[in-house]
Amino acid sequence: MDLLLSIDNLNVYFYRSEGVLKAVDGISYNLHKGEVLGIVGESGSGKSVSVLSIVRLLPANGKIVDGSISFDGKDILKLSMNELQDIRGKDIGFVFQDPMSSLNPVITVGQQVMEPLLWHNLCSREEAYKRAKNMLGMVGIPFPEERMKEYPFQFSGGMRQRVMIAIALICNPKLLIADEPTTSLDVTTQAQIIRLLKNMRSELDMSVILITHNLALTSNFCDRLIIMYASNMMETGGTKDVLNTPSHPYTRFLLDAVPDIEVEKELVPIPGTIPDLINPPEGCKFHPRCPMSMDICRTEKPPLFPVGDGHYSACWLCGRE
Amino acid sequence: MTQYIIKRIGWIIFNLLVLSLIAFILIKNVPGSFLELQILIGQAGTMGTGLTISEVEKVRGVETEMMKRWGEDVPLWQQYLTFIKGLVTLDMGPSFRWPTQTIEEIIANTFPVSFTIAILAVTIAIIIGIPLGVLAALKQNSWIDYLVSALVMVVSAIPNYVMAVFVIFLFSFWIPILPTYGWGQPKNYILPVLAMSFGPIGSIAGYMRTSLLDALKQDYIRTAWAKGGTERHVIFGHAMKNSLIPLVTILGPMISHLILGTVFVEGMFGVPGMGQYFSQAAGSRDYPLMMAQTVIFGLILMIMNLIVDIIYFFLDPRIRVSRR
Amino acid sequence: MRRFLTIILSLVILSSTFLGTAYAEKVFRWSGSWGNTWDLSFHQGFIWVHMMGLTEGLIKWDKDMNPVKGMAESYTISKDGTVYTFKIRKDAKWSNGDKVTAYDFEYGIKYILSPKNGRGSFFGGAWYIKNAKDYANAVISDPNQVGIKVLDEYTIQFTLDGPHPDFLTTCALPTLYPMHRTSIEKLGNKAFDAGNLVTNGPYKLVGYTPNVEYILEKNPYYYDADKVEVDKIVGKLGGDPFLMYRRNEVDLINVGAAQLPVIEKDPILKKELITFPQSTVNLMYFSYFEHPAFDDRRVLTALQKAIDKEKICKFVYRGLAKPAYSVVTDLIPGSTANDPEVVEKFRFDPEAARKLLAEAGYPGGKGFPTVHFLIHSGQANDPLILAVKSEWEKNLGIKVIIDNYEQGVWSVKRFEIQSEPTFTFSGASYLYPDPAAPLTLNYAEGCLVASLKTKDLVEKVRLEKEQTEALKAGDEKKASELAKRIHNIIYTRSTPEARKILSLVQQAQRTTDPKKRLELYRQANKIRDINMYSSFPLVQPMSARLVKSNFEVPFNKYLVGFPVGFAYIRTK
Repeated sequence: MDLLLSIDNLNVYFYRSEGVLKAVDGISYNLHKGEVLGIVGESGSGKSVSVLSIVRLLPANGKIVDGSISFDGKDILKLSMNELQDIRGKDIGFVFQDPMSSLNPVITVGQQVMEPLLWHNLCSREEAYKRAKNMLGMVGIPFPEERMKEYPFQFSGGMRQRVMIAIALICNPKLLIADEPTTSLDVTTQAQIIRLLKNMRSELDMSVILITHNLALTSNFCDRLIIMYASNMMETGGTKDVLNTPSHPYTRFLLDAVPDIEVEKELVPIPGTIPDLINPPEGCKFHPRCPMSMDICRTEKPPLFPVGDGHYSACWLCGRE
Repeated sequence: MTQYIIKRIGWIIFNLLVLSLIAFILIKNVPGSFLELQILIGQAGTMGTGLTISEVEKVRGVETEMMKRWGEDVPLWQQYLTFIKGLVTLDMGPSFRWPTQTIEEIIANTFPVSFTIAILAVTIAIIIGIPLGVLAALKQNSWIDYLVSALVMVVSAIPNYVMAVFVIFLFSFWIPILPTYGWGQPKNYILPVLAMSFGPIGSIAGYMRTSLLDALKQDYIRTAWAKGGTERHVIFGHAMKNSLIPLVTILGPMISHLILGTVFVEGMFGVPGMGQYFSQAAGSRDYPLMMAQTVIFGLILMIMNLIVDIIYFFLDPRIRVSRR
Repeated sequence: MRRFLTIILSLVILSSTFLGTAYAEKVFRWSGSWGNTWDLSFHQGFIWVHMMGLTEGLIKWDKDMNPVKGMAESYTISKDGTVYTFKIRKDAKWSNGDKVTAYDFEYGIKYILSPKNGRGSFFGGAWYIKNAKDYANAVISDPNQVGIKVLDEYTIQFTLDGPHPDFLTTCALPTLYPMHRTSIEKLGNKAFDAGNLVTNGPYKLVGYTPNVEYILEKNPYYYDADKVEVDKIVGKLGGDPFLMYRRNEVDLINVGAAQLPVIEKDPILKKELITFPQSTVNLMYFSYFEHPAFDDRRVLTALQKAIDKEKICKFVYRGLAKPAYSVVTDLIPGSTANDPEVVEKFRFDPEAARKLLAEAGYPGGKGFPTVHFLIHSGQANDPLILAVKSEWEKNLGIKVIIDNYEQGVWSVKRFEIQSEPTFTFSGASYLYPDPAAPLTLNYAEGCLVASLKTKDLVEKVRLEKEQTEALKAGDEKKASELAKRIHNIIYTRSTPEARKILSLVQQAQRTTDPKKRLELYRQANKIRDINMYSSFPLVQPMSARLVKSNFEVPFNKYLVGFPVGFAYIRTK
């Protein structure tokens, strides 16, 4: 498979009045064409920041201080604003978490879906209208022509997220980044949206990065998983490997926290709290919450140890072997 | 929409009735009367010729013909009905203070002047204030932003009569091209409008800055960037549209305030507007003018609010659609 | 670009100067406030109508304020001084060309007196006319009973209620002006609008924008039009006068003490400054309250002697005022304002004041009641009031509280009975140079009231309030009984000095010999100045004006310093 995206040693810092927050602390991964990558972690783990960096959409106080991002052979960090704007929306489509606030309340849905086509000068207005209508139909919005004249507040939550997906896919992107696309939706709608994403991926033949805090959503959609905790990558590998043989204590905690309807299982809350990222703990960031932490965990940051085929874990327990 | 406007107009009329009733009761219960004040302050103060207290007392209680409808020989409710009748039939009688002018004449002569000046001042404020606010918001935390913010603070804090003196010095002394005083020619509009527009420029620029900054923080702006929008697309196509809507809400009260609250500027430049008539009405116990003032003020404020709501209706789809 | 702008700019400036000079008309522009109507029956600012020469009475004042014949061609006065017969000049015309007749005078004076029309407090000479006061106060309703009689189209006769030598000079005041009957009857209120107002004086009203400006033009039908030099008078009713004057937009402005330092520093302005005394006294009055300390003449003398008026004039007024020891200014004939005895009695002497206060039982102000100054919002910043407070507190050790009320509330509080000693502040102006101007019979009667002890005065006020209630309730019997009691208080409890003043004034009004009359008024003035304590004269302010050097304006010292008449303005 061809390499589409390659991230190497990405470091993103947020400059706040309280101090410098390391939002992404040196992570690296690759994404191949057609591959679906899931990035899983609690909120504040840096998973969103790591993908927003791909199109340099960080807030004003956020800065990429080190590392390289290569997308489709282009060095993202060296692109001019114009070149970057050319990639955004056209080659990389984004779906955000809250479809209500992510859609402009005073612009019609149709206009918002058409905008990426028009802004990138991909076609005429009439053509854009047609394509937007088709796309809305494809993502499962009934009566797309009438609904294009309506405003976001006239749509239900699930329908809005379908609109967001339509916007992200209208230019036929090479990569779709879905940042917690289902978090604000109810459980049934969540499943529908994931199913839609899955269908669209196979139909349009693109790569997908799915960001979620819910491991359960990844199992039958993602090819590969990255588990993130406190700005660091904890574990990565094939979805089945990670879910069936988790090698990092944090991953195990996450798996225990997944509600499973079939197996009547007690939800196990992770003890402790997420560390303060301005003054993070030394060594492994997880050690204050880790029941198996050792002396080395408190002083030295673990590298990614291979634990299987393409399966890595940043835990000293794995490195000892 | 038409139904909605009719309903609102009905409310305005009801509110005016309540307002005028409250005003009527209050005004009738305030101590002092027009004649006493005229005699004690207007005359004895400056020109009394050895006027003795007993002479003044003789004048107390004397009512001239024009004051009869406000007199105490008929019950209060009847006086109020007379007032309402005058209001409805546009025959409110003469002002006490301006005895040869009726209330309708005063309003008919002065309202167009006050209204024109207010609209001009707000127009200038919009033309200057919005770009200033946008500039400050886009260059947030730069020297431009600090300069605009400082300017906003200064012009909002300086009362318009001080601004009046400032513009007089600027355009009549340092660059002597405009007269300080007078009315009738287009050039006479320039200084008063300018003096009046400073405050609104400040508030519009400040409001626009905050409103745009707020809009730029919204999630849909991130979406617009993610869609590959340029600054033009994102800021003017998406953020501005949202930040202009709340701006409309401050324009209504701003215009009504400018129509009625410009006494100093009127006096300073010789603008024949409503402010000077109204500012003296309460102090001199000119009942007809006080009542008219209350009703007019209420009416202007409510009509401005109605207009704002109608504009809002067209600007904000959320309201437009839900009221359809 | 800059060059282009400079050219445009200079063109604008040049063209505006050309426009200014190409105008051959002589225009006089002044800054002043104006009443709110041109209807003479509303007396607000009425006097100014006269000054501006819009209307003219049978008598007018020359530029030195001597009464001379105006609309009258000749007049005769009966031997007993009560009947005045005027012959109106045949060439007298209204500004629309109509002739001025005796009927216009009858109509105008009765219009002003009529209780149905506007209302003022001062009627001047009009109240000397028989039954005029009763008609104005609605005691009688038949205007034919008023002593005005038209003998023929050009002859009018006034019958007065007694001899009043000053009636002639008051004929120059607006309450005895003619009015144009046809236009008023036809147009009603609109007759007083610019363009409609018909006048008989040297000017006519051609433009009036309330609160902004009015424009007068020469009346071509005026009999003396040849002698009127200025073609157009523009009165600007707002703006910042000092700025407008310096920008050359007005030719005459009033200035106050605040502007003096600026004027002193500017050689041109200094030359254009004109100051002259004014026939006005700023006073403080007793309100209604009951306290024995204020019946004690030692206390009242001490209070007056404790005020350093020289210092107040120098620092508060920057020299634009002089100390006043009489309520009648020295500009009025027969005034005793400069009488050494009067001045000595009330001259600033803190030692003597403290001694007098101690003798009265209040050494160092101990035990003296707190004094209140009842003032209205318009006086809140008056430095004179603050100065008196500080003088009393510093020199006598008494406590003064300033109670500041909104004007309307003040006008009511002013007449309430106060629980503690209270003063109010006011000014008194005398409108024409005649001893009778301040010393009317009314005033003399007022002196009786003013001489009452505080407790008697309070009793009188209580009875008057009861009387008003009784009248409202329709109990005529009770009301007349109360009136008798009030009369009794005034005439039996007033001081002999006050009664002496009354008899002197009554005597003076019957005296036709000018010398004797003046002496009687002088005596009355002196008795009042030395023995009456209900009002304290403070200062006599001076007027200060800036006049452009190309104009010569005769000023009126009696009418708060406005021009005697626009007809007398000369260009240089």
